Amino acid sequence: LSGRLRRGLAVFVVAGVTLWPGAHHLLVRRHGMNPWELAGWAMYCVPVFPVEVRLSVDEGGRTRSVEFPADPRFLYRIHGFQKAEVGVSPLGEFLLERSILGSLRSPDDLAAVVAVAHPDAEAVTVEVLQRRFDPITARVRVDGVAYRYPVTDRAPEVEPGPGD
Amino acid sequence: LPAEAALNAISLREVSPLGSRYATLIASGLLASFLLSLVPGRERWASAASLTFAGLAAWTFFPSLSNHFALAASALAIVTLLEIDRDSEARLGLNLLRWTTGVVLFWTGLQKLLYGSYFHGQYFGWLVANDERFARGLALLVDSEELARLSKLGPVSSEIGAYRVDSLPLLVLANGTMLFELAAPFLLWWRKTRRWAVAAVVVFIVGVEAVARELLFGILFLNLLALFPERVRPRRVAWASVAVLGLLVVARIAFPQWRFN
Repeated sequence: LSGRLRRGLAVFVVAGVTLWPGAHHLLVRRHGMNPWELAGWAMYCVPVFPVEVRLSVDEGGRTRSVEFPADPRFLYRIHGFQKAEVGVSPLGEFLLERSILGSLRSPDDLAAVVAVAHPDAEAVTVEVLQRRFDPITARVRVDGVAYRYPVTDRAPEVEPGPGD
Repeated sequence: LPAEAALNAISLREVSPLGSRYATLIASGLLASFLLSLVPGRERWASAASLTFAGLAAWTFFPSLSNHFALAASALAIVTLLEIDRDSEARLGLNLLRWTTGVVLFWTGLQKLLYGSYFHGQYFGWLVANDERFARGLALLVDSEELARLSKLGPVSSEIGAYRVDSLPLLVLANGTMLFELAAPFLLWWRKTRRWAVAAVVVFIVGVEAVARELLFGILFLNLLALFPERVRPRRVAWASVAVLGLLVVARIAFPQWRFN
């Protein structure tokens, strides 16, 4: 690399470090990202709380709550080889990633697994609950968002786990 | 980074679904980079190798990455890209690293301002009610009646104004912290106030990190602060840091129940 390009890249890196926290703040506001994570330097601004998930399926015109299937077939590989040693529960993966990325992490994969585990389901609903600290009212409130997935003829795709 | 990677490799052995093999690979790569950095004239190669393994770790563990990891990676990128044995590029590198340090301090203050959770001590009120690390010290700044009220709240009170604090000492500390973080980068940059600003930030960081038990960020940040005063030799601070991190590795092996980050 030429000297000019190297120096330009170094300045570009620092410009990114300088501007990123502003973008981070907007992402937290808009998508509920975790202020403490991903180098926005907003640690110790507000407390953060774990994400909770409630699952339900519509079967025969009725809605009932379900647990996330514990079947080891649903331990799947993410990013190829990385997690192949023991497999990871998609629920655990989702809770971790959602708690950091907020609504940028959708629960599509959870719904797919639930749909496979409940072959008679007409729809799967994933409700994501997140407690948030509201500095204006100085209290904790609960935000909830429900994702509803009608089950169509197309079978949800779930990558088989190790041992399959 | 290498000593920290060794720490993480030990932790990952316990908690990571990857098992220890992959984490050990990354830690070994970083340790090899560290050894390479001891060879005169190979610092840039070592930095580039560290950055490569750090990037591999970032790709693997995203989005679960620590903030100081990003700060360390930025510093490594600057050192990798610039030929720091040339005076002009060394000066640029020094200024960029100083700027990065100031940016981190400034944004920590600005984020507190933007979130608005320090004006009425709301966040500190929540800490008093819930976080034993901070509660003991902060409780000294709250009058007994308010302390009794906060202690009963728990982590998720939905009552309006629950975590708002009226005790003046705590309000002064909360707003003072925010203002200090906003002002410190300018005081660090201005040559006339630099020496005192460095001392003040060191005291501030050591205090916060000791209570929060965030030793790794504290060590990294002290190394960056060592780049400000003319008389301090950053290399000495770096060696002291490596020694402390080495002790932490031993501590993590000997006392796995100890938790710090």
